[in-house]
Amino acid sequence: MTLKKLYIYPILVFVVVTTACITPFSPKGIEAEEDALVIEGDIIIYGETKVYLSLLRTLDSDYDVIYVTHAHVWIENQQGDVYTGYVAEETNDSPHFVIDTRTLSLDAQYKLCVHLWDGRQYESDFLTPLATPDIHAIGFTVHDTRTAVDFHVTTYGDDHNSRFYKWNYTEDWEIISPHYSGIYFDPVLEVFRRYPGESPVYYCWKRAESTAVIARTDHLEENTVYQYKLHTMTNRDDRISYLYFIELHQMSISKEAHVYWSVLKRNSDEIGGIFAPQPSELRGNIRCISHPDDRVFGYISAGTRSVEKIFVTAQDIGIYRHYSCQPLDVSQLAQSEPPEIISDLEIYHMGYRPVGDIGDFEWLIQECVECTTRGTKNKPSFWPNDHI
Amino acid sequence: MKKWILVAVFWGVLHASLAQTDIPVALTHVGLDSLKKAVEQHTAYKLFYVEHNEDTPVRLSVSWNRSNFMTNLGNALDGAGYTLSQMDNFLYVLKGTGILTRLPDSYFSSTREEVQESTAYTAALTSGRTQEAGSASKVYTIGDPNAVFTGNRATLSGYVKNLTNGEPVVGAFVTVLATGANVMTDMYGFYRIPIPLGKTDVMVKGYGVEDTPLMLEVFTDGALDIVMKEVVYSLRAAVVSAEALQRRRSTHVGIEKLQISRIRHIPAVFGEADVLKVVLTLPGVKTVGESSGGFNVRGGATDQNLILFNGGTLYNPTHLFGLFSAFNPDVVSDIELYKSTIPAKYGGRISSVLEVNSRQGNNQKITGSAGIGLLTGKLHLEGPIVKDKTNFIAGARTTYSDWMLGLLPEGSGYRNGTANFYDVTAGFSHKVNPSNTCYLYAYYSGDTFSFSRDTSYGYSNLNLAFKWRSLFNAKHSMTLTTGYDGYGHSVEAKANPLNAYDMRFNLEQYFIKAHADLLIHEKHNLGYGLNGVYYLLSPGSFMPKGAESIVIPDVIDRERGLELALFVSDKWDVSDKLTIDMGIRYSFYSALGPAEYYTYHNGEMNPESITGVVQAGKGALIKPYHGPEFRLSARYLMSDKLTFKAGINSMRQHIHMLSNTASASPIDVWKLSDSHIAPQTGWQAAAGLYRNFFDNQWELSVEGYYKAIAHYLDYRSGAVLNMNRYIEQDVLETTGKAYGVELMLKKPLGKLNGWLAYTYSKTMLREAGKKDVYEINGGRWYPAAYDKPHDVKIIANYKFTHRYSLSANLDYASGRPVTVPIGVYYYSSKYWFAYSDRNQYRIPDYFRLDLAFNIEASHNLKLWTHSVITFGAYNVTGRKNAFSVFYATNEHNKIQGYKLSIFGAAIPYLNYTIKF
Repeated sequence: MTLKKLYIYPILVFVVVTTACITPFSPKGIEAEEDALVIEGDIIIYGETKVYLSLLRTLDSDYDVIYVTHAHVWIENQQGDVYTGYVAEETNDSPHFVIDTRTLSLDAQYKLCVHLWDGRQYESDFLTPLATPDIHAIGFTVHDTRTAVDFHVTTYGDDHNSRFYKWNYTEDWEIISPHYSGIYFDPVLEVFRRYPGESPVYYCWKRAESTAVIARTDHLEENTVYQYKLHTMTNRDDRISYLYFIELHQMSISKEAHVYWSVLKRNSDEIGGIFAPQPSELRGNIRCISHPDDRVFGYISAGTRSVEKIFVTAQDIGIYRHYSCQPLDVSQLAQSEPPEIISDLEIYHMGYRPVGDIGDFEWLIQECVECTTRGTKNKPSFWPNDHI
Repeated sequence: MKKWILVAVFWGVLHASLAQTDIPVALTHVGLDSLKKAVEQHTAYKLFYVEHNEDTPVRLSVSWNRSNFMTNLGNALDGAGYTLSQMDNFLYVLKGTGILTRLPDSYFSSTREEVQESTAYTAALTSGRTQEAGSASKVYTIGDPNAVFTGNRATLSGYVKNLTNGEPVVGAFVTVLATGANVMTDMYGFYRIPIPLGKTDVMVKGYGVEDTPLMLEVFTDGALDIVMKEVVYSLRAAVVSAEALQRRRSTHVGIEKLQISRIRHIPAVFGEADVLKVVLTLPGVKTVGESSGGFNVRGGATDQNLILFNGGTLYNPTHLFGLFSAFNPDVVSDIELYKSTIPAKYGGRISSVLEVNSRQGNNQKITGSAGIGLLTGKLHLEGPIVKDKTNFIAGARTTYSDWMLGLLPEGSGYRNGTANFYDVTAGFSHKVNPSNTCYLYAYYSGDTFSFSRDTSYGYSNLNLAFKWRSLFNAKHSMTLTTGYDGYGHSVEAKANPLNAYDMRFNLEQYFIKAHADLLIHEKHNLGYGLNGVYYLLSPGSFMPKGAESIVIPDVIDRERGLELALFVSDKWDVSDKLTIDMGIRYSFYSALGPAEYYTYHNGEMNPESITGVVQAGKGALIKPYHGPEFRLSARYLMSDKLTFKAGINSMRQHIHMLSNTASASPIDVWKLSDSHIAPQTGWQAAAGLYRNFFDNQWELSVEGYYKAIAHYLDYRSGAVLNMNRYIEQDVLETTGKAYGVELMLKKPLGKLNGWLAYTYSKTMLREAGKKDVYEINGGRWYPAAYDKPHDVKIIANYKFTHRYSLSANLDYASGRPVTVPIGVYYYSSKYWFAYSDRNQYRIPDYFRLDLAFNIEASHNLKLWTHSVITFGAYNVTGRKNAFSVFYATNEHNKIQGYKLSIFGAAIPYLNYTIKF
């Protein structure tokens, strides 16, 4: 028998437009427990413990955090010894409590207690402090494409250490403007002036604090965290434009703490994807003992902390790309006939700044001249260079 | 007319029934006169002959017995240049062509395929016992006219076939008009019906075929194959089709049956006919979101549907993460969905059974198709290997869909992905003899996809099945199926060489199913049989990938399980109006050793309560679970037009899908019941009223149901479901209840055809047990992720003329429940969301309208090519239906909710099909 018929279905497509999209949406009738308490603060053995108390806000509220200092905060061991917390005097940090925990021992168990002004009382579980190994190294790896760099941590733990880790880090970085200018335009008097000394907008600094980064090694043969990624920066990132500093804090945490942090991150990072898990209930290790039905947010860990810090220069990484700083062609602006005169003030308000000397200068975009668009003049006290 | 004469001659060779005695007769070298004597002596026939040439008298050698009398005699005469014709009890032996003793079958029909028809009938006769019938204007004799009458009823059985290609007509109704008895043909086109003796009229109706009335004269039990012609569009005729009858006549509550021709008329995304998406257009079937894998039937979870493809179980019947179903529409014949009453022969899932059958293939000639669609390239071939005996059908599809992923939104996670899939389906059927047929089926589907360069996913199904069907006698038949089903998936990650891994899951099952039908009494149709499944599950392996990786190789011990079930059912025709279908299925299951597992104190499954480790030896029964499952349904014909049905059934399920995502994901793992995880159980009670209107052109039905589910699995916060040896420590037993009402108005045929369905339903879940602290919503009832109370579905097709038709598909549903952020807090240098209780809010309602316009440009049968043009649009109104919602900080530094729409605009398509 032969193949008598062969049906062919060539299917032509004229247009296919799939505009899958994301649009705003707000469900109706949402009610938040507006004043549920958030407790943040790990018990740092051989160090100083900071405890931050704040309140849950509704989604439509402004973004500010409401900190609570009208409270009693202390740490207690199983023998009933109390280590009292005091409201910190520091002004360059958010309001918090400080507890001197230098004399705490790795062999005892501790709990954190909080009593609020309105009678609500909170307690954490009793926690066994965990010792954490030293951080072996902070390193970085430039991507093959040279468009980004990963910073990572390596730690070699032993079998006595927990297989679960948590890191927090602070970053400081120095920015220099792509172009140095000894003059500036005074928009009030509409005159050009020379800075009395060095330009105050050539060097700037900025600081950021990270959220927790967690890792586990329980599926590995050795308790080794090898080049675990902390973060990635692109070649346009200010942090690697001149001098970068990172101070990394490491704690060993329990498996339960790791679950808490991974659920917290998963609830926030993965919601909305097509195979996203349903948000899981997040249960920390703090309870409201006066009102058992009240929600409380946060997870307290206890243990030692190891610290590692490095400076890295832009040359070390070598991938940073500066802003493109083309001088403004003023004649191009005046296109109407007869050419209309554009004032310096107008150019200033268009976002340009003068580079050069009075009478002999070019206009460049502000970001090329003034580092204050991306940083501040608050130079960290430990910064290893002496310019200001 | 010449060939018709030949046909008529063979028609004369009807039955050997007039050979009165069963004594073998042998004649050697006899003349026609001796033949006449022998025939008249040994049979009830009178033989007349005209000898052609008296000079050289013909000499014949022939032997026969009761069963082969006509065939042998016909062949012997044929060898001598004579033909044998029959009219009633008279045989005529003539030289050369025979005489026309009755009108040819197609005398009154207008078919053009005369050659094929005649060959079909010829072939049928050589098989000896069975006649084929298709003409309304002829009386067919059933059984032995000379047999002694015993009782007043006989059993008629046979196959209903399509005239053109010889394929079985599935789901056709055979009705004995005098008694009102009716049966539906099974997936082989087989029917069996009690029939009164004497002259009787039978009506046969099927979807897409012309109604066929037959006149029979019944003497004893007999076989009759019925050939039916494909329907030529009759736009105005009031044709009652099988579709109209099936819901009203069958005893099952909540049964839906669709032919592939109907499925093809429903507009689909990218114009790709999709078997599973069509299931979603039926009342009572829901899905978490469009383009998500899996479906929910009457409040059941996605793992509670038994999906059978040619008898094998498919664990993941989708491609592309659930965007498309893995069935090749060119190969599929029909689908059948049991939403409520599940026949006793099925078991192992608690919500529904979806049976997908492939076609057997054209048994007349080799045909095929090849096509290129927006997403797939496909090829299919079918035809006889040995005509009328051995058929095959095979199809394959593959994709080039990467381009489509690029069109999906940034936030969907698909955009930078690559995806590839293919599926292969093959089927063989071989008719060993008229009573025995065997079938061989094979199916493979494979998917690979990745969202990024470093991580790739893959999953595949493999199903093999061998089926043997045997008709022991007119009242007793048996189907035996045995086979293998395999499903597995893998994840490969190699971003960090030290942590690079390859994680796999694999599930295999070997099964045997025996199912017999026995008509023990004219009012009792007994079904009985057994099912056995041996499960072999590899819950996970986690292996290092590459030489540098320091990942510890980890392989979780295999799980084994054995499921055995015996069942018996009786369809009891209590009266012409009342039919009761009763079934009981006793199922036994146990996880099998070797295995190692913990025992826990007081049933508290957490690490602190471990009291010991049990080592179960090879083949040991770890924990047997067994119990009866009841299947009961009844149908009462309240009047000619009005039917009432009710049913109750209970089910058990021994395998669970572990999933904590809103919609089923292709890398969800499955888990067998064991010493700690009890089987899921469920029961459902349902009742319905069915009414036909306007000359049976419209059908209105109302069905209501209540369903309860126990031992469904949910999970503790942070539970890791992959590579978890002690999943019992992370599961939360959940109970569920679901209830609803489904209204359906259906017009099966005519210029306007289709259906309108409205469903009201609720599906609620609750963490089970008495506990001090509940993990989910404080132990209160909460709506399931697929709880969509209001649901309207319209499928419509309007034929303007034979050439132009318009198809529409409308889908409206309440928004599904979601868990949303209700507050925000600052913690660890970042803002985080505080979430509401589970599923306390809803996404916006879903609405979608699809339209397609079909032009069949040429109807002239003599043209060499035929073209069909379809243009249409998916989501015509361009509504941005929410698939999921998420929250982010907007430019005003405020938290804003967003919804993600997968198909956020109308998607037009145009298909141009040419056949030659």
